Amino acid sequence: MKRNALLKTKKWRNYLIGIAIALVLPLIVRLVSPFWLHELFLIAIFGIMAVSLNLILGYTGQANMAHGVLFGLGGYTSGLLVMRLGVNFWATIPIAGIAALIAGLVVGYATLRLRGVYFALATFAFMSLMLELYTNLRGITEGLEGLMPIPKPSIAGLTLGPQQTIIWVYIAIAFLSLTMFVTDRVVHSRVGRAFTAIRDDEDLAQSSGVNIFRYKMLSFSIATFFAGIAGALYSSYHGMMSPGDCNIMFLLQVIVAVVTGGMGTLLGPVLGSIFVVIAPEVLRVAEVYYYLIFGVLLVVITIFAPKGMMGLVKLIQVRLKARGSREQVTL
Amino acid sequence: MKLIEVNNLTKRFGGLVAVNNVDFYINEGELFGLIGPNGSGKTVMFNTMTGVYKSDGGKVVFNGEDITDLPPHVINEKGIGRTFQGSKVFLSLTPLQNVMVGRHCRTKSHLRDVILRTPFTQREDRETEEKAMHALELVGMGLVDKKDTPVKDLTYVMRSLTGIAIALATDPKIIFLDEPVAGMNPTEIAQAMELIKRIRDSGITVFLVEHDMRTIMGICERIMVLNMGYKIAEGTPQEISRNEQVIRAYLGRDYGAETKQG
Repeated sequence: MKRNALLKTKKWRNYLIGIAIALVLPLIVRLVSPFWLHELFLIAIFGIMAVSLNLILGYTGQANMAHGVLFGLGGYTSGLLVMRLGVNFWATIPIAGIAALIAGLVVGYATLRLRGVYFALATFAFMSLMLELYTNLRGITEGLEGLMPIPKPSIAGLTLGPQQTIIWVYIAIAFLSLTMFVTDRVVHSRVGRAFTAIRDDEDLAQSSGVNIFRYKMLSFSIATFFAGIAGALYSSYHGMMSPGDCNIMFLLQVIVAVVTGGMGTLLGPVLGSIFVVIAPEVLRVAEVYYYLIFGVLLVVITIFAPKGMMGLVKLIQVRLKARGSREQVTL
Repeated sequence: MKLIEVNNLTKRFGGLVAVNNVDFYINEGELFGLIGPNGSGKTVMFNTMTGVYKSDGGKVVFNGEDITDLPPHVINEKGIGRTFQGSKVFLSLTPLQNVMVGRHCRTKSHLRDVILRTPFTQREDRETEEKAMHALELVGMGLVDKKDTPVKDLTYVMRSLTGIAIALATDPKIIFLDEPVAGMNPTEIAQAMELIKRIRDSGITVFLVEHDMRTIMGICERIMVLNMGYKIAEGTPQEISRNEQVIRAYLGRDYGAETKQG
């Protein structure tokens, strides 16, 4: 009981720290440089994508390759509703999420009985199919050039144009927080235990009473819902949506964010998103050698931090604790 | 009363008949053993009865209900708990978390409950932890002391015990144990036998698979012997140990012939 109370206060402390960072960080960044505000928005969008992919990939162990095109589906859904039907952008956010969720349910129903690499291949095929559709259904998606311009939404009479990036940042961070909150609640529960059980051993999970198909579907659809929302925010912010925004390079960046940050951890994917967004900016000076350096960096991270940055953080914590207790002993 | 009844159960893999027309039953409260040489179809029998494999004929009746070919999680919910050979556990979790997974089918919290963390979910989670602790305590053998160590850092024996505790946590009427003493030393085997008796005495019927005759003879009331997918004998340990076909299956044809002459 005492331990639980302690955990609870720690939890509240963490929530407060999180809220403080979310509120103050954009203000500081704006003081430094408006350009980095744009980067911060991208970090939050990648954050939503990585945290939600982590739910199905990191916690449930299913290598979902459809995540990127479902982000695209959210973006197209929202963009088309605003452009063609004049729907209010704010109303399209949940619609985009639900559109991605429904597509996710259909794909999931067809593919989630497959295991391991076969599931990855099936969802990869779905990704290729969707990218072809986005590119070739020119009457709807306007092909490679993409939808544009998607009109900017407004909030209380204020149009959210390029001068209002900070509001976009707050909106994206709010949805990132929601994604993290839901993930945190879900993984520390009966539902999350079922997810982890499926990741560790499907046969044992099933024989221990877990309906593995149903819980894979659940994990998959929560993840795709948030991917759809991220897509809606992204397309409206950019004022455009094209197949290039959700292609395989985009998916790979999200996967890199999850893996370098730490699979199966709450904060890892967010750290990974920071890395994925900032590394290209920092390495811009390297010009043509950019991909070479980025590749080497990835290899180094996977060798020295196989459990991602969160794994490294935990290792350092353990070391420090061990050193602390050793010093106490010598005293 | 018959708790489980198997009629003409058959399982084929291509041309190989792994379980061939096997009939048997297990009474409620019994400690029933299944033995046979390696490759005789014991594990296939387990997997076919628990829905891991689809059968190719025959029927499994549990508690008066036909459960043939139901999905494994449904069979588990109906009251059949099982372990897997080779100490299968959820490797990234601690023993306590492993066993809490076993409570899944006896709990109800769903997505809305867990996102809102309703009082119902909080109460259920507390109960889940308590019930999991009970299962760990019933297993004993030092597992409770290791409850918060990740299973991947534990010994093979501790993993096997965790597997048994998961099955116990599902509140089974019968528990299927697939070679639970594999990799144990004689002292541990003796303790494990005590544990199996303890499980039976707590009101759970036990169906035990073992390929080592000696460990099973001491505790089972009735034993069935499989060889090459066929049931070759069934009876009390005394009857089994005198059965010629069993001796032949275990020690080879020549040895069987010699004892016949002697």
